Amino acid sequence: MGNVIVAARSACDRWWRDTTGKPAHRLGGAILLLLVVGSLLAPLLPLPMQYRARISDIFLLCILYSIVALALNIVTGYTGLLDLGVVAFASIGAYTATILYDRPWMQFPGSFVVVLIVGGLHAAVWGLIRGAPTLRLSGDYYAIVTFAFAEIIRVIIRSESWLTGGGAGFKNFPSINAWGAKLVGGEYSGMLKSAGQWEYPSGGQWFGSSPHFYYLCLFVLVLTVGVMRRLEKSRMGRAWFAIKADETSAMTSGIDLTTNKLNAFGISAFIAGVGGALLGFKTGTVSTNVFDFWFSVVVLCGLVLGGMGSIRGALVGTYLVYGLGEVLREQVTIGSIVLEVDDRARFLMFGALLVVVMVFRPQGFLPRKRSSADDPSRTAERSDLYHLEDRA
Amino acid sequence: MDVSLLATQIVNALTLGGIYALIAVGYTMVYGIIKLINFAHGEIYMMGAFTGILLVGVGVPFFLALPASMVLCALLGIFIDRLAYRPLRTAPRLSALITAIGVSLFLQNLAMLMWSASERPFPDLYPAFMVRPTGADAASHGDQYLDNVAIKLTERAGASLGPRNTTRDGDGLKVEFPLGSTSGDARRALRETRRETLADMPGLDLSADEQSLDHFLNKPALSVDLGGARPVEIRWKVVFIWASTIVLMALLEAVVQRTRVGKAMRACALDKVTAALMGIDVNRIIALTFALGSAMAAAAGILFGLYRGSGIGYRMGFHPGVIAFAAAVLGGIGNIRGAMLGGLVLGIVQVISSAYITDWLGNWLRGAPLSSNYAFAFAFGLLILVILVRPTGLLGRGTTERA
Repeated sequence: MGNVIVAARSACDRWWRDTTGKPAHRLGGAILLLLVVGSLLAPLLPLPMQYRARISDIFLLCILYSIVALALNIVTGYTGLLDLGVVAFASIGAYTATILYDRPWMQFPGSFVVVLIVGGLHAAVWGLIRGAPTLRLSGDYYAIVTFAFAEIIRVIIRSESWLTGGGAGFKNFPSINAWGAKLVGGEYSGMLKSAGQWEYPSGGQWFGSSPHFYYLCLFVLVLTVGVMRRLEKSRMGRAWFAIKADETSAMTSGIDLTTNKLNAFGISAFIAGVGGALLGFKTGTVSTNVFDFWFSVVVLCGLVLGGMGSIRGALVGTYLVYGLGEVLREQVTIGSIVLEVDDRARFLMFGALLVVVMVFRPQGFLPRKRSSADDPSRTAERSDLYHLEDRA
Repeated sequence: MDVSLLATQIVNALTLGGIYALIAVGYTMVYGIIKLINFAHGEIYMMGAFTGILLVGVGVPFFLALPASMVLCALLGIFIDRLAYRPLRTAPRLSALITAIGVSLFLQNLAMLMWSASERPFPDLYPAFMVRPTGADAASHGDQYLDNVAIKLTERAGASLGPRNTTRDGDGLKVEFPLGSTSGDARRALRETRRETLADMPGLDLSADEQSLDHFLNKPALSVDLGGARPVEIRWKVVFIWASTIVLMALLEAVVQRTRVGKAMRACALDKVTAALMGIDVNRIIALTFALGSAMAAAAGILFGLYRGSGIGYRMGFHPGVIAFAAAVLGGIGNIRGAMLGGLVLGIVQVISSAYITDWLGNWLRGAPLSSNYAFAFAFGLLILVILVRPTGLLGRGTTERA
């Protein structure tokens, strides 16, 4: 069995090495182009209302999770610290925005944008709070601390029901408006409810959202991608890559670990908070059942699939994971045969996907081009016996 | 403060702590040898509980079901290592950690698809009663009456509440009920039979002594009155859990410290390359480590099911798994005795914090007790604190890899 795996994997690597830079990346580029065009045009497709609404719904979900995935990409992809707690910041952003938006003194035209930013900033504060004591950590211990932190946040949210609604959280909040335009809920939720079949299988209505909201989210994603591209090329971005490659060497080369790491934590948490807030508004459900540990894992799954550290990889991976996940929810009827995938089987698939990708292609489908250093197929010679770098 | 309540809580804490310790040794052994946080370990514990109740459900005696499910889970552990972890021995460590998370996600949802999302009770272990005639006419008409009862019960056997087997045993009638029926069901069947058979026999009555394993396990082995509202009881169940924990731990210690493979395991944990040069088959030793750890986790799963009597569900491995990991870190990861100590400490922290600290802290902070959910937060907080302050743990050597 093990030999089969090793053989299959080296065949996979060989194929990839022979084709890298040419068809594979072109394929990746083509998929990316498809996703970009799809995201741009989904709400405008000349299809019956219900299909258009469902398709744009799927795209919108992918867009929102991509924002969170890009946030995770800063800490995990650029700086090389495995973060298993991105859900903490997404939920802090979502809860902050939801709670604030409900306040009577928040009822002014641009309040929607204000609560988004405040949600992100609140998440960033917690990102720094978590980051400051963990600056020395790396590897597994960092991952475990992020995980434990997220669980503590979740316990607090579940327990303090006077503020957060407890385990059930918030559901069915009123329609969301900005500058007179209805963004989420209202007539749009009515439209989807009448179409009938697009209710969440597990409680909670599938909220319809307006094209305004859709393009607002797309704008946030584009903005995030733009910021990422600038960051990658900036001094700070290069410092992050250096920290990922070797923390000690980075430090001896005069890179200020504290500042650069804290910046990564703060920026990442801010973006995750904004993404989480938008997700909460979009689905109309903010609860710890949505924002649990597996939220982090599935976002990570998309990132791993696409290739950590690469913007294109993060986007393609997230779209694949969530797009596929949503498409599998649909019931397909061909003649008298009804094809349906158990809603819960999707997670089984995500688990298997994580293992398979890690075993066969640990660098993901579209890894960073210049990061050949962290491509394990090119560095150490493979041996199935033991790792050589791990001696105490 | 009620002393006997505190004593009861400490008994609970030690039981839970022993279960955590059994899980924690698996984490610590695997980490010690391949530096992998085996995130799927909690799921092995869950699988152990499930195979346990399934085996008991098809009629395997409980004392055989425990080792049988340990063996099955050991095989599962070897299988997972072979399929998911072994191909990644040379890969960066984070890849292996992500794979472990994938395995955990996979196993959890596999369990949910196979055994449904609802939680199951731990089955009552083989309800059985010894029925004896009592009353004035017992000596003269007792035998005949018992035959009557046996016939009536046998008539029920096809129905849902009927017994599996009735046998005459000396002056009594032994009534065994089928697997899957609860003691409550069995009592109802006996009550109804008594009503039906006693209508025209004023001089007779029936006594039924429960003889099931469950009944025995729930009886107190030791009862001490400390002056509280209720005496402090240590049930046979708890004694059994403690005894099994101690025996399993002692066996593990013996294997690791006294045998050749144990020596090989320790050698691999120190330095795999040198160990391989000395002729040790490193992969086999790693597989053995997974097998031992998984067997311990499976035992923990069954013991937990026996202890709680309920709550066997696909999600049951998540929190105990994480808390046991915290225990392993607390004790010094890679150190088996440390994991045992850490498990006990975390059991105590969890029970005491949900029983006392949440109340005290809540009353001090805002005049109302905190939710007992915070017990988990305290355990996680302790984990973070240990990682930050003393990553080598309580019993860790200074040479353990620093975070």
